[in-house]
Amino acid sequence: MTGHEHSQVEVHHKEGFIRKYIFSTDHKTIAKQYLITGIIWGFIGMILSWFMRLQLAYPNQPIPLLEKILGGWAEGGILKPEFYTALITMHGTIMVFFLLTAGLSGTFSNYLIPLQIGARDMAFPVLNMLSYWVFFAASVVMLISFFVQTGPAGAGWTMYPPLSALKNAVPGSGFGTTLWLISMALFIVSSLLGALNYITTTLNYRTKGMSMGRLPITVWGMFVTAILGLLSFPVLLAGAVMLIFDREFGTSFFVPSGLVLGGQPVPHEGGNPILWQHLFWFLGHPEVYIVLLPAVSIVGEVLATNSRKPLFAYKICVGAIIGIGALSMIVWGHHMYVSGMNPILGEIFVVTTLAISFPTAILIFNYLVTVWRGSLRFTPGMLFALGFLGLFIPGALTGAFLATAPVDIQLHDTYFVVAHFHFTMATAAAFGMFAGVYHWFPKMFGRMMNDKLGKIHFWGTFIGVYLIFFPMFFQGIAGVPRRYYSFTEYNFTSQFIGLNKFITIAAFIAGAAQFIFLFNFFWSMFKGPKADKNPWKANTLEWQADSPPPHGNWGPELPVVYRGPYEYSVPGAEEDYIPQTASIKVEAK
Amino acid sequence: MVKEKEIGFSDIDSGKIFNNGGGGGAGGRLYSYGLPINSAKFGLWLFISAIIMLFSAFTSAYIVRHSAGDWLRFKLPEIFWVNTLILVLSSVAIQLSYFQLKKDNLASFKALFLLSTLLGISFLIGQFIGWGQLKEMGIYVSTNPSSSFFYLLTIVHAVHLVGGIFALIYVLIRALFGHYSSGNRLGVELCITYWHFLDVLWVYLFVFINVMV
Repeated sequence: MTGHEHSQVEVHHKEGFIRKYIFSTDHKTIAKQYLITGIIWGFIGMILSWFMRLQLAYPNQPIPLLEKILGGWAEGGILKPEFYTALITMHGTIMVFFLLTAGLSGTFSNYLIPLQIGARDMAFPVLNMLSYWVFFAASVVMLISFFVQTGPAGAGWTMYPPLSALKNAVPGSGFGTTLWLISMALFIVSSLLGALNYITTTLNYRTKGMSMGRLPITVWGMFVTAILGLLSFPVLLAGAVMLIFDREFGTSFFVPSGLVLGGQPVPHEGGNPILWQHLFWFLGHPEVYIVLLPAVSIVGEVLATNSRKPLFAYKICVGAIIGIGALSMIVWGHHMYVSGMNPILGEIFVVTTLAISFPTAILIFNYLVTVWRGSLRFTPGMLFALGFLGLFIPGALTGAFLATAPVDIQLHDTYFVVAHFHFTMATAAAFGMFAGVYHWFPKMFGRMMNDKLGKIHFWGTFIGVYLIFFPMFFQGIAGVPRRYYSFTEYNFTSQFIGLNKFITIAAFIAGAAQFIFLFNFFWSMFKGPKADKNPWKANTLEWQADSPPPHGNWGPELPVVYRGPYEYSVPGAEEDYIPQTASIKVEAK
Repeated sequence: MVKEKEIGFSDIDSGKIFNNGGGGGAGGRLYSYGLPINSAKFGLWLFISAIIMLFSAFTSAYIVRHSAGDWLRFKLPEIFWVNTLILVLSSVAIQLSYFQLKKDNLASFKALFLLSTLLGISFLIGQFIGWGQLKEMGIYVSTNPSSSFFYLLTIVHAVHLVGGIFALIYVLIRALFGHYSSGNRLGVELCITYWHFLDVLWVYLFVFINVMV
């Protein structure tokens, strides 16, 4: 049974303000809600990183302005150590989960899947609305934890016990961690509701002619992402429930025997903190690809469209995405080489982790060949897509070092790791998201974004990111550990104080560039020039709908698909693109 | 040269249309674009697979912790065996009620469905009694990892079961108002699938706990 043939959707029916903008079941509105919430979180997370950078550049130097902003957390203008760990925790949590999981997947899976497969909406619109509002509740809870007297959670975004399991281990281990766990439980429910929708819609709601082999690469990316989320988030939920049991009911799943806290022996005994690491990273590693795959697939679409060339080896790209997704489920142990795991087990994880570089390299090479000798159009979206490649490639190459256990033992928990994952998943995924926002903004809001501001934003961000994170590779190789409050004690760390100042300045410049984006985004939403149906001359279905598409997306008739999504510059065709809906026959001269 | 000619799907399927290697294209199929399963049922199976992942995480953690020793063995109160029987009977009753619905024997459908719901509720009550008896034996959540895991697995199962009971009651009320018939039984089918799953899950957990004492 194909859903769309049986459900008669009213194409134009009036909706009140609340139904239209707040409790909307329209996938496009929900996507915009995710996008704007994600942008807000992105800015919060970025500003938190500014505070961290200030501390690293000027350790123990009073900055009076900080006291005005942070109050008790920076008495006398010096950041408190426990607030520094809270900053690290919240920066990681916010960026990984709230911006790059919910903000990225939530926006583009919701917006693109129904439009690109020719559906009127998601399979379960009400669940879709619930998914956003549960995410919103998770956001509110996480935000509240900033205003708790003992501060937000401080055990790192990975929440390793016993720091997270004992309520009085550090100030953030109290109420802050409880709120963190509640927020994440809500977040997992939200992501589950989303994943149900994305998978079912992709499989069941494709229009006539839209076989799986004709799906745009974006839909494939979102689809595999949704499957990963569906299978891995429940495992984190299991860990979180057990952590809640340890905290609230005195069980000892994760707390080992013999701990002494503040002179008092801890009553727990016999738990195993490594168990949490396994449960956490069983989600945690697929999570990296939950963040990356939507971005990488957006980049593929934007590159092909703006190179005016077919995506090179479409089927192999799809295979590579599926391969990355499958392998990502069996590599979590590479985060735990120093946990004392059996070396043979470690060796197995080395092999699986290095194996994942095959599909990844295939995908990236396909992208490079797609761009090779194309008629490139340097729109801001295209620049960010190319920038994605420029960030992802060094990031992925350094991944090979970290994947190898003997090297990782040296580099583990140093700034090398920080640089590596900021290149591969953090900034690369953010670049994919920016590429998507610039590319689909005309469709979302019916107006164009300012080109010049977009380019300034790109260059500011791209150069800034390199200046911030590239030096961290050197710090890491020199052994500077991550997550430390201050590096003044030892010579091998304090030699980098000048470099730390440099990175901090770069962080402020790159951050300032984001405000250009913020202005461009909201200004263009209301004042930008009106966009055509198809400003980029792209093939995929969403460009055949109005900009912005009406409720129900299509007129009375659903579009019919006659060809694949990447027929650009076909020899003999009148124009350099042929929309998927065109039922023309092209013969080469 | 572009030939502006309306073409049919047969042309696409036979690969007659020029394809630039841009992916998809000539290989595209015309028929059966959706799955041969109702979307809601498929969504429910996805939900069930997420729950399976949740419990596989719990039970693998159980195995890891169990192998580390310091594992207190205790005898489960007999009420849990009774509860297992009750839940299996509930599953049987709901399946029988479904057969009656298919034959449009609505009165016996409702009766059996009601029976199943009542059995489900008594399972839950039985679980509370069982937990109470454990407490009287001095086995609390925090006594030993073995008891912690026992409470964890049974409580999380019970939470999912409460959701199932709400679904049963919802369908039951709609059934009493005459909503369902052999031609309109999607809601009943969804409910039954989930209820059978909870039953199978419980039997799995119960066998698992009894084997891994």
